[in-house]
Amino acid sequence: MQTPTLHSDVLPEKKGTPPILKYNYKPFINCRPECRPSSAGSYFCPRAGFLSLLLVFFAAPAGAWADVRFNRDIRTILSDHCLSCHGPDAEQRKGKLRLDRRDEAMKPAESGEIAIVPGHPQKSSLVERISTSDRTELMPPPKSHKVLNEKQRALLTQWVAEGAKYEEHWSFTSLKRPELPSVKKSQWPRTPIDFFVLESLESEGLQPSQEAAPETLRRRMAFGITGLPPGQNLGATVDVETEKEMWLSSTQHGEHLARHWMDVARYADSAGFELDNPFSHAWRYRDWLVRSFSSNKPLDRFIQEQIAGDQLWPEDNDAKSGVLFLAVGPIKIQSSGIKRPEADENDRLTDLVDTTGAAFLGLTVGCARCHDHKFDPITQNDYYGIQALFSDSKRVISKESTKEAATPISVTLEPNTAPARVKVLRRGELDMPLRDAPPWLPSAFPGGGAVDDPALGRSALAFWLTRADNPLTARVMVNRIWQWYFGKGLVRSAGDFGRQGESPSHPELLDWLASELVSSHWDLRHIERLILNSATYRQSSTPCEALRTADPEQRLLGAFPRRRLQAEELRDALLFVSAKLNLTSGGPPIIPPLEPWALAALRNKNWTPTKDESELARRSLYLIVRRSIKLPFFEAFNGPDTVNSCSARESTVVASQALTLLNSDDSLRFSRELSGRLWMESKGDTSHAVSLVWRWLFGREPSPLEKQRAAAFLSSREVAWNKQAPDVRALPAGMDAAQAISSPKGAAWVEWCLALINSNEFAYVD
Amino acid sequence: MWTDLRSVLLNRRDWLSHAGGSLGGVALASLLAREERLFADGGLAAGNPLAAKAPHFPAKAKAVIYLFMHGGPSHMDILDPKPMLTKFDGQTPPEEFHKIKLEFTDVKKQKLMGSAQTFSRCGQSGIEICDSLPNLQQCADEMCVIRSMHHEVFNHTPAIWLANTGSQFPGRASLGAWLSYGLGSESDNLPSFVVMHSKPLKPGPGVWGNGFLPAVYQGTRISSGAAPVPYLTPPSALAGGNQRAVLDYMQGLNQEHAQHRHDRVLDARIASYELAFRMQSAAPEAVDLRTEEAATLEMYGKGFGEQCLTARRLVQRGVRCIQIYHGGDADDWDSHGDNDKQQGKRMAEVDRGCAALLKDLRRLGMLDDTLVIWGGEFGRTPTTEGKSGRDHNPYGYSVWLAGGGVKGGITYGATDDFGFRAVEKPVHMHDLNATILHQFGLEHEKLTWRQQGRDYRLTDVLGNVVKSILS
Repeated sequence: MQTPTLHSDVLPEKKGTPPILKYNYKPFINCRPECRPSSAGSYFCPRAGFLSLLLVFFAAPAGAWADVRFNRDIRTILSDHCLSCHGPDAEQRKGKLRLDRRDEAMKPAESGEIAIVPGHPQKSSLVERISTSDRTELMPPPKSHKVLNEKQRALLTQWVAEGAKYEEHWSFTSLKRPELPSVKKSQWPRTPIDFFVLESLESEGLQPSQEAAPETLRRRMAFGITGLPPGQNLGATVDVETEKEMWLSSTQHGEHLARHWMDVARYADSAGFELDNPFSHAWRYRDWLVRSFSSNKPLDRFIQEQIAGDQLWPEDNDAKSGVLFLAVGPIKIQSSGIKRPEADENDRLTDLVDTTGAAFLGLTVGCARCHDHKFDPITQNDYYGIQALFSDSKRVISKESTKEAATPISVTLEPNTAPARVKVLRRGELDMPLRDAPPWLPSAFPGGGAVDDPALGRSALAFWLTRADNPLTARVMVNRIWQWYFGKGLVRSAGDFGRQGESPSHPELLDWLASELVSSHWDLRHIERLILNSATYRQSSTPCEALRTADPEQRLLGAFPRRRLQAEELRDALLFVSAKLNLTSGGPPIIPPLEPWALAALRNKNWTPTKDESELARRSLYLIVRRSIKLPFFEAFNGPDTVNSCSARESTVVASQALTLLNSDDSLRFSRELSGRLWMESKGDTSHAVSLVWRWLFGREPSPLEKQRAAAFLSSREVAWNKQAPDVRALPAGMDAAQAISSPKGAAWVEWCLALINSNEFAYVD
Repeated sequence: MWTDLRSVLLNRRDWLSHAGGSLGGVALASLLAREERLFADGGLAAGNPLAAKAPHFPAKAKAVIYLFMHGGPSHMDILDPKPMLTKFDGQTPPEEFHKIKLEFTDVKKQKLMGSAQTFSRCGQSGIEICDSLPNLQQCADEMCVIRSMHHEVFNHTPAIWLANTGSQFPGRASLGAWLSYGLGSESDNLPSFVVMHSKPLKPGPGVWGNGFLPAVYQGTRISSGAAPVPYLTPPSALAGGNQRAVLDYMQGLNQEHAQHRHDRVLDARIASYELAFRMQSAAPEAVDLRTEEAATLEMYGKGFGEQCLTARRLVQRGVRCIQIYHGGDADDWDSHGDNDKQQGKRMAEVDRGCAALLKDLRRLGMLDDTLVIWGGEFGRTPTTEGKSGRDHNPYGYSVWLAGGGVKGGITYGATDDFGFRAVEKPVHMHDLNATILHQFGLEHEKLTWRQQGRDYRLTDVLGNVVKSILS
C-alpha cells in the first residue's frame, strides 16, 4: 500500500485531478442554515397534532380518511420526501417536474408523464412511482434514504383521487381577523384569547384547569413580567392586579423583555471568532432595548429603528442606537495574514440577511444564499436583493489602542457612498458571481419585488417588514410574546414559520392576536395584558389526568406549562432573595471574576473583572456576553447561542447544573447571604425564619410539616457542627456583633439555605 | 445513570422511613407507588436522553480517543516524506500551484522548502515515519496513515470547527455529541464525552459543544487532580459538612413538591442531583493515576502521556468519546516561524504518549474496539513562510488511525510530489467523520437532528465512508 514516489529530475507534470475539482465540496460548505429536506419523517403526519391522529386511527375506516387536507396531511410528506428535487429550487430540479405548485404538477414532465391528474390516481405517475416495486423507478429513489410508508402513500393517493387540492402555507396567507369561536363554558373566558383555547379543548372533550392559587399566580406573573420573584410581603396591601400593573410599568419589565430580545438579536459584547475582540458599543443597543420595552415603544417603530433608525430619524440619538442591531453580530477580525475585504463584507451581509430573516420574518432565508429556497418562496434574487439593501451602509471598525492581543473595538454604521455592487453568487461563492443583484424585496409577499426608489436602501426594508399586510411580521412577533409568557410559542418553531417549521397549535388565535397587534398600532403592552388577564394564563400548572393523557405535550393549553427559570432569572432571584440585587439600570457590561479553570479556556484573556462588589450584583443582562466563552453559570443553565438568532432556549436538566448550584463559590455566597439576612430578620427564631424564607423563595406560607422538618434538619445539623467546629467562611454573612449567631447554629443555617436554593420549587415556576 | 436510580430511590425509601417519620404513612405509600409506576411504564427510562441506544448496524468500535493536534502538524515533516521537495529546495514552486489560496502567503512568491527531518521505514509494513517519533515508529503495524486528507478551510478557527462539527461556522454539534446522541451513555457515573486540553484553543470551548442537540450531549472538560470537573467538590469552607444530609433534606422537599404535580421533568431533576452526587466520587477516581503500576506510568510519561493514560482509564469506565487537544495558544503545531524546531518540539511532546497508548490498549485487549485518531485541523505548506516557517495547508495533509476496526500497517492515498494537494484517493474531513461514525455502527446519513426545518448531520450533505481502510 506504499505510495510510490515519482523519481525524476524534472519537475513533474500535473498529476491527477486536484481534489477540489473532483469533489467540488466547496459550494456546499457555505450553505448555512442548511437546506436539505428531512430524511427521517417516516412517521405519520407530524404537524397535525393528535387531533388528526385520532381521526386517522379511531374515526376513519381502514385505508381511507374522512378528508385529506393539504396543509395538515400532504404538505409535510411532499416537502420531506419530494421537494428537494421537485421543488422551487430550479437548479436542483430533476426531470423538469415541480410538485410544490399544482399547475406545474399537472403539466407533462420531461418524460412526458404527468405527475398529477386530479381525480385520476391511476393516470397519475406520482401515484405509480411511489408504489412501484421496480427500484429503478421508485420515488423517492432508494439512494436518497427517504422512504414513504404505507400511510403516506395511501394519503397521497387519496389526495390525488380527491382532486389534489393545494392550500397556501398558513403563514404566507394574508392576515384576517377571525371571529371569536362559540364555546359551551361561556363563563370561563376572561379575554378573547380564552375563546380560542376553550374551543379547541371542548372540541376534544376536555376542560381547562382550575385557576391557580393566588400566591402561585403572583409568583408566575412576577417572573413572567420582570424576571424576578414577587416582593417580600404575602397578601400585601395591594392585590395582584395592581401589582401586575406596577410590574408592567417597571424598568425591570423592560430589562426582562430586553434579555428575551437579546437572544433573538444574537447579542454579544464581543466579535467572536479567533480574536474575540470585546465590543465597546454593544451595550448601547442593549440599553436601547431596555428603554424601548420599558416605554412600550410601538413594535413597528421598534423594528424600523433596528433596521434603519439612522436613516429614518437621523436627529434622534435613541433611534440611532437601535440600528446597532446591525452592528453587534460576529465579526472575523484578522490580526495578520492576507486581507480579504470582499469576503468580510460578504460575511457581514450574510449575517444581516440571515438574522433579519430569522428575527422578523421567522424564515430561514439563509438557504437562499446558495440556491432558491427549497421549501419557502425566497429566491436567490430575493436573498441578494436584501443584501443589496443592506449594502447602503458600511461597517466602520475603530480600535482602541491597547497592548492587548484582542483590542476592544467599536463598530458603527456609516453611509456607503459608493457601495460595491452586490451580485447573486452561484452557490454563495464569492468567486462565482452570476448577475447583479438590484435592491429587491421578497417577491412572493405584498409589496415585494423591485424597490421603487433604490435610494431608500434599508428604509425600504424597514417599511416593508412593518406593512400591515406583511403576513409574517405580526404573526412572528405575537408568537414571540406568547413564548415569553408561556415558555413555548403557539408555533413552537419560533424562528421557522416556513414550510418546514411547525404549524401553530391554535392558528386562529395566532391570527387574532397578530391582527390585534396591527390594529392596536403595534401596542406590545396591549398584547401582554390580553395574555396576563386571560383565564388561559391563569390556570393551574397541574393538569388533570384526562388532560395529561390526551395532551401530554400540552399543546392544547389546558394548563399553564410549568417552566424552569432561565439562567438569568435564577441568578437574579438568588441575588434578590438575599437582598443583594443591585437594580441599577444600563451602562457598560459588568465583568465578573472567573475561576482559574474557566479563564484557562479563554485564549485572549483580556479579562479585567469589575472591582466594585455592588456592581457585581447587577442583573444578569448587564453581565458581559463574550462569544468565545460563556460565563460558567450561563453555560450550565442553557445560555443562548450568540452567533445565530436564538428563537428558543433549551431547558435541559443535567448533572452539571446540580454541581454548579451545590458546589460553586457563588452558591455558598448566596447561602451565606440569605442565611445572614434570614437570621437578622427572624431574630433567630426558627419558626419565623421558615415562614420568611418560604415567602422569599417560594412565594407562599410553609405547612406545619415543612416547619417541623426544617426545625429537625437545623437541630440535627447543629448537633453535628458542635462536634466539628465549622470554617468561618461557612457562616452567615453580614451579621453585626449584636446579632451574633453561634457558629454551629450558623453553619447549620447556611446548609439549610443551600438546600433551599437547590430545591425544585425554587427553580421552577408553576 | 438510570439503572442506578432505582437503588437511589430504594435508598430513599429507607430515608423516608427513617427521617420521614413526620411524613404521613399514606403519603409515603403513594410516593413510593408512584415511583414504582414510573419504572413499570418506562416513564423515566423512556425520557432519559442518555439511555443506551442500539446502533444502525453492529459496531466495530466502542470508544474513540481522538488526539487532536491543534495548529496544524506538518505532514511533510512527520508522515508524508517528500524527496522531490528536498530536491527542489529553495526553488519557486511550479505554476500549477500558484493559485492555491493560503492565509498568509502567496505561493508564487515563496520557495519550496525540503524537510529537515529524516524518515525510516518501520515495522513489517514499512510505513515511513519521521525519526523524531522513535516510540511511535514501533507501532507502525497498528497504524493506518491517511496521506490524502483535505478540505478547503485555511484558517484555524473555522477549520477546527469543521473537523469537530462538520461545518466551519459555529453552532453545529460536535462528533462526541453526535455519538452520545446516537448511542447514549455506557457509564452510570461519568459523562459519555470527555475532553482534555491544557491550553486555550483558538475556537474556544464551543467545538466540543452540543450545538443544536440537547445540552446533555455536550463534552465535559476534565483536568487532572482532585477536581477534574468544575464544581465537583463542595467548597472547602463546607468540607466539614455533611452534603448527603443536605441533599436528603432537599430531596425530601423535592419529593413532596413533585408528588401531586405529575411532571417527569421534576423527577429528572431529582435524579440529576443523585448522578451529580455519584460523579463526585466516580470522576476523581477515574483520573487518579496513583493506582497505576510504575511501569505503566513510566511508559506513558508526563503531560500529554498522562492525558493518554487518563483516556485509557475513562474508556475502561464506559466513556465513549475522549478528545485530547495537544497544544493551544502560542505553543501548538502552528509553525509559521521556525518550522523544524517547532514541529520537532511538538513531536517530542506526543511521541511517548501516543505509542504507550497503542501498546497499552493492545496489551489490555482494548485496541480492537477502541479507535485512536491522531491529526490536526490541517497540514502545512511545502513552501516557506518567512525564512523557515510553513503556512496553513488544508488541501493535502495526513492523519493516522489505529484500532477500532481499522486496518493496521497501511498508508492510504497520496499528495502530489511536494505535498500541496491530496491527489490520490482524497479523503475529505467529512469522509473521515463518516468513517468514524461507521465504526460505531452509525450511518452518517441517518444520524440526523431536525432544526429550523432541516435535518442536520455531522457530515453536512457530504461524506463517504472510506471502506478500504476497514478490516
